[in-house]
Amino acid sequence: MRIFATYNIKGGVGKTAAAVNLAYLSAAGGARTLLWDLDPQGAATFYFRVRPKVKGGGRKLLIRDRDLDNRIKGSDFDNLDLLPADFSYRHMDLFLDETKKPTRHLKKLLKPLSSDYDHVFLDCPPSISLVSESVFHAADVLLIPLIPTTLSLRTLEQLSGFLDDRGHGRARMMPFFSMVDRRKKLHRDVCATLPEQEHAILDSAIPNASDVERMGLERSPVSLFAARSPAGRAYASLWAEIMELVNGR
Amino acid sequence: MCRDPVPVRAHYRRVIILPYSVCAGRGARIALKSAPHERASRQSMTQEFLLPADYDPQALQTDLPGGLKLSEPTERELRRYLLDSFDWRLFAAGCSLVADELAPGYELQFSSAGRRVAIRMAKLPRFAWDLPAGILAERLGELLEMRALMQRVALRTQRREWRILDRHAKTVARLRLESHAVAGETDAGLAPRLSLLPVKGYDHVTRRLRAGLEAAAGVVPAPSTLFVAACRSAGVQPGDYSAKPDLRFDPRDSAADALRAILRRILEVMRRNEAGLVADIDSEFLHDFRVAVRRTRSALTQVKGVLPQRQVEHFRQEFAWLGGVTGPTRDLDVYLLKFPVYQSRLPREIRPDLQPLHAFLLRHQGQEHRRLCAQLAGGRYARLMDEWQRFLDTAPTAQEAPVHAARPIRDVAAHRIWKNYRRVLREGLAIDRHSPAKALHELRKSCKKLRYLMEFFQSLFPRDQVRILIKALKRLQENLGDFQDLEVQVDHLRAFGLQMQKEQNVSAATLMAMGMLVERLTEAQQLARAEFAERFTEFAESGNRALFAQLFRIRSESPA
Repeated sequence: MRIFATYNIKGGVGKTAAAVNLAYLSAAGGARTLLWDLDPQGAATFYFRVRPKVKGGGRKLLIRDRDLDNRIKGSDFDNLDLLPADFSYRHMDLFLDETKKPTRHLKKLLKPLSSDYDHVFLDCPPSISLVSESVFHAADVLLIPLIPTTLSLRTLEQLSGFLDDRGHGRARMMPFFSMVDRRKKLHRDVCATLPEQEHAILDSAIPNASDVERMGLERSPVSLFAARSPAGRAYASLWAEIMELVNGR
Repeated sequence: MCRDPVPVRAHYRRVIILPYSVCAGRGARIALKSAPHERASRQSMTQEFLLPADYDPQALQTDLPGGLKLSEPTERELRRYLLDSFDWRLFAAGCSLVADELAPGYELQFSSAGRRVAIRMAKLPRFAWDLPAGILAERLGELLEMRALMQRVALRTQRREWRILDRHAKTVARLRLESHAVAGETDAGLAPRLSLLPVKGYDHVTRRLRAGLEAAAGVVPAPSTLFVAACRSAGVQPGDYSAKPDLRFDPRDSAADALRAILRRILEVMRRNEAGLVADIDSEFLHDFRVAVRRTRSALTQVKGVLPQRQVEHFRQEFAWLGGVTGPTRDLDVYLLKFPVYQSRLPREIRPDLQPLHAFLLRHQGQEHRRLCAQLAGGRYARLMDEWQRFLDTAPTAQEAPVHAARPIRDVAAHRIWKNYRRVLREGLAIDRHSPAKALHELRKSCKKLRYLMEFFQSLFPRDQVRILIKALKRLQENLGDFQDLEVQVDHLRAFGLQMQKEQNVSAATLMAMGMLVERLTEAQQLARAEFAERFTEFAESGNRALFAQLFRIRSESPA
């Protein structure tokens, strides 16, 4: 079982859209896939038309019975399941703090699922908190959407410094550009110069397209309702690139 | 396929084929690596129903629980293949693999314990290792090992599918109405089926739908799975192949009749494997064929004084010939099967250097296989099969009946097993640290003969006790097999190296990788040799000895 987490300290960078589309593409490729919506806003859950609620609430799930499987909902697509968000996830830091090893807790919870799923996607809330630390510890790959501005590099450096300090160095960082607007000179410039810097930024970039916004209306992945649109193609190429990297080819 | 550090021998033993009655409907109990919830929650399993001819699923609309509605149906016609190995490994494990032909490519659906995994593929996979890496490939790999998937039944399917939607238009269950006909047959044959496909996490919906369906007039839960019904309709019997000559005898049957029955059964196994062997579907057709030849030879030479000696001598020679001509292809099959293990024994960076050996093995396997097919198409083989069948079908005349022909089979069997057991003990006890490899090789052959005899006649003795002894013998045989196989492999790898140099430009890196492999295999062989004493002591311990004596020693024979 390989665990991917979409993460950025900032919100509104296309994190959830990436999690939803990549999870969909993973499942369509035949991998048993689970998406865990950890964000109390429940955007990913909304896209899959599932009620943003888990049985007994977040605390019961995380602390008391710890049975993820029992809360999983099948999506409308083969091989793709969802563990929905719950509004109580806004207190997840507090729940984790009640456990003995908060930063290892999510990994421990996911372990029993390892023979059921090939890929797990964690869609994380923004900010740096115990939740994100627990996610860093669980994840094999950190997918980091970046809006191409000069601040992006700073964010990336901050994050990588934080991971090193806290000994979460195991997770592999895979930053990629998101919400790229080719009409903006700044975006073009940053996209052209950043990849040469220290952090290997993936070649595939997700455009700022109205199709991505339409996901909210369609309540479905772009990769399904507009697979051949620029955004649909961009996610497909991003997923292919990620798979190549993790399979070491 | 092979993660084990010891040779793969243990990996390609038969799976036990359960009789059909035991298998039906046992999916819920036998699941590979299924998590506890898979075994527990039956409501998450797909339910199938048979329908009266006039049933209209739209009627469901009115019965749907509040807030739910049926989507518009989608219709499609497709070809569907039920896949399994020749020896029905998926069926025996309570699983099924179905391939639906879509416009481009196929959708494969694997079901185990009511759980479904679907995957799209451009081509039908032939082996488990043709699937993309993942849980499905792993599970199929564990079940199928080196056996190929075959299209056991082909269906033409007409499908109408509805989704059950909640108020957010989320799919919470699916209904499929399918009519199937066996491809190539004109009559409809199979009753239309309505399947209720649950969506995980919506069990309450599934429960209510199922209750609604069960209450509808004329709708009955399907008594058998589509797989089973389709096989029946196509005249195919799932689980109809087993390589084991597991016959039931009455202890009072005459030895001549019983032995003929065993040999007929073994002949049947040989003939059933011919087509797959010639088509080279997978390596196991030839393997089962060769085991059948060895069993035949063993029965002919070990059970003396039961069949007319003159003919026994003739057939013994002919089957020895058949064993000989099938050998080279099998050897190369084994090396090809072991290739991944060979690679795993080498450091990662050296593994690619071994690739030319794979190409070499593949090329020679093809050549040897063609040679073998030519032999099997020739007159000598046809004559042998013909004469042998006729011999087994005709009862011997009274005047040519040898001494033991009329004796009860139980006595003859016990006597032969006891004698062979004594020989195994004698040979084994004589082996010490300085004994040559040949001594272990001889012991291995004696063990094989003993094993075949015990398997032929197991129905004549208390089943549980014979099983204990067969198991003990098997453990010893594994050790002897590892030792002997490694010895042969080391010799052959050396010979291959020389031959590769003669045939083509082979790089120094490849020869070095092969050299390193020989070294590793020699180490493994030494380990097997070191382990022998312990394994043999286990086999020869007093409990087993007492049990052997109790089952097989006939009173008149004096204890040695």
